[in-house]
Amino acid sequence: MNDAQLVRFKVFVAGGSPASRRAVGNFKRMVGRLYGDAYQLEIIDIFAQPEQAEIHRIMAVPTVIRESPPPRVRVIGDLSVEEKLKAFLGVPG
Amino acid sequence: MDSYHNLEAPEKMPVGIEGFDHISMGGLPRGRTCLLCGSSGSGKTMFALESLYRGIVQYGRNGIFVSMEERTHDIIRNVKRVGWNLDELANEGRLKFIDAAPDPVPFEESGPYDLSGLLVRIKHAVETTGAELMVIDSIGSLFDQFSSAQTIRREIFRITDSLKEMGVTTILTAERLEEYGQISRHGVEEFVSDTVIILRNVLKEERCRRTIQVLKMRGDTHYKGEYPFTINTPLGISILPLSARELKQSSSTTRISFGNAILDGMAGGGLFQDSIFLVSGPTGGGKTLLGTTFAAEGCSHGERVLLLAYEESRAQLLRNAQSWGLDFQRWEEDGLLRVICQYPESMGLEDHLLLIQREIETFRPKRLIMDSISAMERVAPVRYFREFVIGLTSFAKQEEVCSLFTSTTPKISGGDSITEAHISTITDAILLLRYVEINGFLRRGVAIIKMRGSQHDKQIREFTIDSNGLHVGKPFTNVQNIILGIPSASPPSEADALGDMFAE
Repeated sequence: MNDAQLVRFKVFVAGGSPASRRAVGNFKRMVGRLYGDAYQLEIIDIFAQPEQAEIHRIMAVPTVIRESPPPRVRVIGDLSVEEKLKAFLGVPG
Repeated sequence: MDSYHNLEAPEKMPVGIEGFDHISMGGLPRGRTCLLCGSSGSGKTMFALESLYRGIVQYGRNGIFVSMEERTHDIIRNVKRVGWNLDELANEGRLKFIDAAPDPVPFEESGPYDLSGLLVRIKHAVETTGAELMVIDSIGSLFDQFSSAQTIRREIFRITDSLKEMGVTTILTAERLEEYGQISRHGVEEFVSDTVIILRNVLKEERCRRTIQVLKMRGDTHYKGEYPFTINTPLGISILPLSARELKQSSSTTRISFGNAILDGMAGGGLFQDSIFLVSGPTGGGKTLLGTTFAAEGCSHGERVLLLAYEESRAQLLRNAQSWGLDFQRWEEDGLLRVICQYPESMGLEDHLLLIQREIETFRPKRLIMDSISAMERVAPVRYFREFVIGLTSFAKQEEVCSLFTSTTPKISGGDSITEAHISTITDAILLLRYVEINGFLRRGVAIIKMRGSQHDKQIREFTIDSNGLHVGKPFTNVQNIILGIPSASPPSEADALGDMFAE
């Protein structure tokens, strides 16, 4: 699989907060189910890298942004409500 | 056990917006949160931006603008017209913009979240710029962007708490739906704020009137009530604290001339330099001529004179003056005379007042003529007119500009004028011009009925107008009721008059 078809995500967390850990856990589980290993996940701690929060205009935390394929959609919250993630993750229907 | 150390009253931080530091008695409480609320278009963003701008250029205080409604580029563009180069300040690192406007691409909410992202960005901006003043415009927008009101309420508290801890003075703007009703749309903002300021934009009698009110200020005092303001490009907001201004009584002892020796004599030697005098008379009675004579007296002695004309056109004024041998045009060219002609209807009274104040400040006249003040009375509700008069007269006295106001009486024979009822207590001198019908002829009488701080002639003298201007003649004798109504011949002796009263 070439790079262009790879699904890439950025997850913005606030340190090691419970919501942040839950979000990453939930996310990895769901994405793993859909794409196996064929995804890229970058975890950004806004406490450690506040400029990244500014660049990506992060308001709520946790925030997950799908970098590619387009469109650049985003989801906020600890990702415990799977229903809401379908469009985001590219699940048809 | 808790211990409390070093707890002082919050000091105030001057904002620099004209009139605001006066009504707030020093500015905003430093390090605290201020809520600025108003209906759409009431001037919140303008006030907030001006606070930041003046903070930077006048007080060297860096600032941050968190924009939740408009895009940063639009904000910068919008104030270019006022002459503020926010882009330069941003490039210099003195002003930081945080773009928190809604994302055009909608996002999903899945599970609980908080606003740590916004908080981190704010904290980071404060640390990197050393900002002392922050604006969040508008805080209510958070309720539109996110669905969990409970979360947003909690996060607003958290954010304002953090800002307080960092010692940053914060202005939050919030929208209102009614001018006189609930303080703000969502209600939470009031509880996080130590200071609440309300901006209003009320449509009354076809005119928009902007007002500002400091509703509360925890920990300190401020002037109560609503104060009118204008947004006057290129200077920004101007608050006119008309009723809070101290009414200064005349104190100058220097006398200046009316332009007519007999009138000067009637006034006990002339007018005091910082006095306000009212010339009242029916239309065509000679008021404008008196004003013109007063102006000419100033100019011919090298004094600067400001003439505000609300009833005649420039051309008419200059032509009339010319017919009395007064070369207004030359005086204008020499920079001694400045003539401003305006329709009273052209703007609200606050804008008129501001314009006049600016003229006085830049031109620095020694004399001012306003012909007529009754013209202003016609275009506004009585209360606003009175505020206008107080504002204008106290400013003129402060600047020691000897001012002549003409006032038109409603009837040809005289009668009561509402203008006079309002300003007669404020003016220092009152001169009445009246028509007199004697033996089938129409003649004119002039009298000074008030002259604060000086003796004055109590007699009513005849007043004539010819191609050379005005002349004051001999007192009327054997005639009474000239000023008050229908003149009648007075009786030959007092004994006889009293005799009439007690006749059986």
